[in-house]
Amino acid sequence: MQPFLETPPKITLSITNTCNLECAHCYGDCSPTPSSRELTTAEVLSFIDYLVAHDFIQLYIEGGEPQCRPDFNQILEYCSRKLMTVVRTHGTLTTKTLARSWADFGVGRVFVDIMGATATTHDGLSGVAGSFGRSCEAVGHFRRAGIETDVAIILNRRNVAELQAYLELAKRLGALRVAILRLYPLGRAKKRWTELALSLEEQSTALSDLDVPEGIEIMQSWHPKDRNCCWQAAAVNPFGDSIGCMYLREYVNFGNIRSTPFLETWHRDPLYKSLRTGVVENSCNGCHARSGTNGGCRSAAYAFHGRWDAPDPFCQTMNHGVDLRVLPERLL
Amino acid sequence: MYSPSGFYRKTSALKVRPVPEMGFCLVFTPAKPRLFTLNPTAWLVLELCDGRSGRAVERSYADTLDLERPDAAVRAEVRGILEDLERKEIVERCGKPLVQRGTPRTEMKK
Repeated sequence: MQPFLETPPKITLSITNTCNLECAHCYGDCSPTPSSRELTTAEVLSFIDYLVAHDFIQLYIEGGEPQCRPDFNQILEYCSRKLMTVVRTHGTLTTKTLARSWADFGVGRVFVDIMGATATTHDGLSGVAGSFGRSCEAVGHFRRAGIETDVAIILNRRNVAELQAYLELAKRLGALRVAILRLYPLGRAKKRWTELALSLEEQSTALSDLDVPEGIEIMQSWHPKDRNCCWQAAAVNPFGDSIGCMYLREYVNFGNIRSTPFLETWHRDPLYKSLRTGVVENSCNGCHARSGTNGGCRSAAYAFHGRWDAPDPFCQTMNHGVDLRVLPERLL
Repeated sequence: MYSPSGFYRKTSALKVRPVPEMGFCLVFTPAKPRLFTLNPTAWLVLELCDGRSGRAVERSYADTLDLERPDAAVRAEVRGILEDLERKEIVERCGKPLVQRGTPRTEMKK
């Protein structure tokens, strides 16, 4: 089997591991102090030139918190008219002026992480009092600046009971879409898995009980939308490592863009190529029919089974009795 | 509103990224930053928007389907696609024809 794509049209860049929050479930295990190993401004701008020259069309930027980088506006101004630029932020550093600047730069879309429907839940998860209010305000700033804005929530035990209220909050704030994301066993979420993780049944019930407000679109990846996105996966971490997908961050390293051009990592690494073929042990017909890809998320499959071609246990038809509240010992 | 006698071209700075492996095309409109996915039909119509008229786009489109001339269904399809592309600011009207009418069939089939 050959990978589906000759070259990828889209890429994710995690631009920093620095963050001013202390989220209980942070996948990056971020810190408030920047690492000297992170890509420099010149390296980031050079990488953007590389992406443009090699026919990429979309750049998705996340962190850490991208706004913690002092050069972030310079980077956005440089890339936003060259590539469709999407930014994920928790928004606590966003001002009305900054949102307008991003609109002027040509930022195409923003995802704001809001971790619950109430300050108690959000601030409890973020570890910083007042962050809920500032994240909510950020959605308004971006919307009023004319940037299409979505909100994102990572579903876990602390916020599951307020998911309906979350949708209503999103509508009040003017968000267009709500991304309901799975909890992955990465970073601090892995260390606090027992406290935060839900069973598959609890997750499925929470989703099926939702009454989606008019005008809000839900983005989620549970059955029958459990995709295997690896066919197009392209991501680089703050240190320049090519890692396919941010959810693979603890499992793979296909090479560093400081020494190896990104597309060489794409073309040469055998595991990277193999993941992009979509070959798996088995897959869910419903999810395949809906999403056209096989076997669901490879990160989740690998985390729980230790095999790259294993079934994804977050899909009911492929779960096969895996208790998602319990991590395999090798991950701990 | 579609006009058969209007002339159509891609908007300036438009970025087109074919993904032939998957049978679609991605289009980025930097002036109003959005990313669109075009199916093969819309992709073909977009490629025909090189300054020729709506009527010429209809003829060229019919030509690729090996039709002698555009029938009502072809005209309606091209009209719908051009209206959609114009609404999304992927194509725009230009004031004068930039290519000669009656592009040879062989050229269009390349």
